Amino acid sequence: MMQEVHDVIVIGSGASGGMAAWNLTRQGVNVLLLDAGTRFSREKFWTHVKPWEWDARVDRGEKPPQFYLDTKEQPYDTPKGQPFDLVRVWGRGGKTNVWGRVSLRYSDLDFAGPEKDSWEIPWPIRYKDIKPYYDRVDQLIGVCGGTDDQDSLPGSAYMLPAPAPRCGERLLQKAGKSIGVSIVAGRRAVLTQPHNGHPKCHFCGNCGRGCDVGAFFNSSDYLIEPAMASGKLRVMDNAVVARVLVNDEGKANGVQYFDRETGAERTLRARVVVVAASCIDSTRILLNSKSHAHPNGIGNSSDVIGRYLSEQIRFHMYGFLPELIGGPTQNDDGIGGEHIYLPRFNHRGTKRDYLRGFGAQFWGSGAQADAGFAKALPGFGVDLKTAVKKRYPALVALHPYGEVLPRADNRVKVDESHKDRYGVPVARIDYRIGDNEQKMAVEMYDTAEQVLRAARAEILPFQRGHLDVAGSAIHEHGTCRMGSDPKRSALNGFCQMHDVPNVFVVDGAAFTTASEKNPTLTILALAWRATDYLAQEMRSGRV
Amino acid sequence: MAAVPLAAQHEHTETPAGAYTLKVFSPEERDRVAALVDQIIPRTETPGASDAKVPEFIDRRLSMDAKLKGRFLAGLRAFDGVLTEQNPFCKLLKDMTIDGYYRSKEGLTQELGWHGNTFLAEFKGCTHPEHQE
Repeated sequence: MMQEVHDVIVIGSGASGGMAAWNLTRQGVNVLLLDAGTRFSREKFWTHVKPWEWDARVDRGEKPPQFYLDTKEQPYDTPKGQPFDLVRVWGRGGKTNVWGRVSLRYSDLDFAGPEKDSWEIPWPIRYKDIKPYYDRVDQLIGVCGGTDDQDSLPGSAYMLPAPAPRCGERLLQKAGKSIGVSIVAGRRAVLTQPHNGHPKCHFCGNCGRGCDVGAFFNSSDYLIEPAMASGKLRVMDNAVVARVLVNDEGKANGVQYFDRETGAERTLRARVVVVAASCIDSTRILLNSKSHAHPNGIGNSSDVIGRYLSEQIRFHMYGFLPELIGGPTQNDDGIGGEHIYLPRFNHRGTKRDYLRGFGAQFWGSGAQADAGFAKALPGFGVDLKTAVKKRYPALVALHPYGEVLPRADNRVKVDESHKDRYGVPVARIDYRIGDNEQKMAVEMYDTAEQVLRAARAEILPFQRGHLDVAGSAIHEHGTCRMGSDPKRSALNGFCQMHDVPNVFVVDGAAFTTASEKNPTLTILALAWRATDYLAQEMRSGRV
Repeated sequence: MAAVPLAAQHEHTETPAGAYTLKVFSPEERDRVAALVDQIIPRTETPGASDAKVPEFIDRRLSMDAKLKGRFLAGLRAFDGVLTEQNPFCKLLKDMTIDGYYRSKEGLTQELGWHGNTFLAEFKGCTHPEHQE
């Protein structure tokens, strides 16, 4: 019997895979989506489990949703002394179940940056190319925020109302202004009013456990469920894709996958394959897709796939604001995490001794569901207890994020000597930051300290220059980059492989540079644009 | 779209804590730890660390991490009883006490006054005129 040939197979169900499936199916294309896990049942989220109830529930044999992939099940390698924290969520919606929801548009500082400073290749697109898609994404998923745009942070005509800043945030905005640093309203994919049939946020603040009502964008409820309702989308659970398969001419004709429950190996046929398994996992699939036509991995005649891994550098600085020390405890949950954002400003004024830039997030301020800061306070006994209580309502923090330059040696390889439970080589992540990032970190530290000093904050002791372990920002990019030169890039500006026109890679791997910004909004916009193009190419018979 | 239960209708009933059986500490060790954590966070007009079952919290954490358990028990046995900032065991004990106390109901709600993770129809943010620009 002839094996069924699917129009399009999409690998992965996160932001990029969900967008690809949703946008293709609504244009009449039949899609089979392969999800490495299953649906997370929102009714079973632990959104409203108080910290002290956690252990009692576990004792009763209950389990919170297991969002995060266990490295025991799916290991990856790093060189000794070079750790990389890879966070993966296999299952419907992927990381969008628990993401930070910061939704910043890239500007032409980002898209035209490489052209200006000549570090590595330019992006093949500019803000004007992606703007219509940002507009559509904002309207579809619901992004709240302000109109206080910057040249480094383009605005949107479609913002939902910004949530009111908390006391600490107001005071930091004031402090920033006093030293010429703009701190604007955050832009975040949280519904501050009902939107497209999804209920509004109820300000419980525990978004990191998954939202029990779906009041922030997640790919499962916002994209995949509606696409399934159209009758054009089929989703296959627990299908762990290992390779993209090709015909004799090197064109993709399907995928090989392993059933996560039984371990059985299977193949599926398709006219087009859209790879959306998240940056590192997509790269692993591509590099493992070796064939006579593609000895170096599918679409990798340029040898750029796996290279130019760019995450972001980050650290944390905490302080306590004098106006709030000793004050009453308020409910500071809001939309969970910050209501403000410090956009990039280092392109203004004197030229820096490093390239690219940084911005800063603030995360939670004021009353949190713990008091971890107390570990950094001296003493024991009543003095300690009193010191913690006084500072508890006054907590503020800066969490600056800086761009990491793309470098050929920062790379993901597949490790033939280390295979997973299915016999498929695992990813080996060899990544380190360089001088440019170290120099940038100096100004990042200076800025965070200046803002807190301007606010007259008592600053919690910090170790200047310390950066989080690589991977912590969970913003991996660049290992299958787009560009106009097929010798130096794997994809064109529509996420289509130069070498293999019926393979598209639509997640963070496609980014030419990382920027200092959170990538999900841009991933959604790029995946929408790419699949508009794909649908058009399919209609015209070119793909 | 699948039916979404309205947040306002959620039952926010609490899970009662069951009786806890020690997994790591002997009763004597538990009492010794209780005395120490109460030196770190004592009972005042609000509960102290052992009121908030911090020794049981530590016992549970140790039961899940063999390396930590070894480090903690060795430190406890060698400890002379005087809390100092320099002693690594004191630092470990202090950190675990802070983790346990400030996530307990006693520590979070009675001591710190936390009243979050609940349904709010509206979030007003900062309403203090003196904090505005």
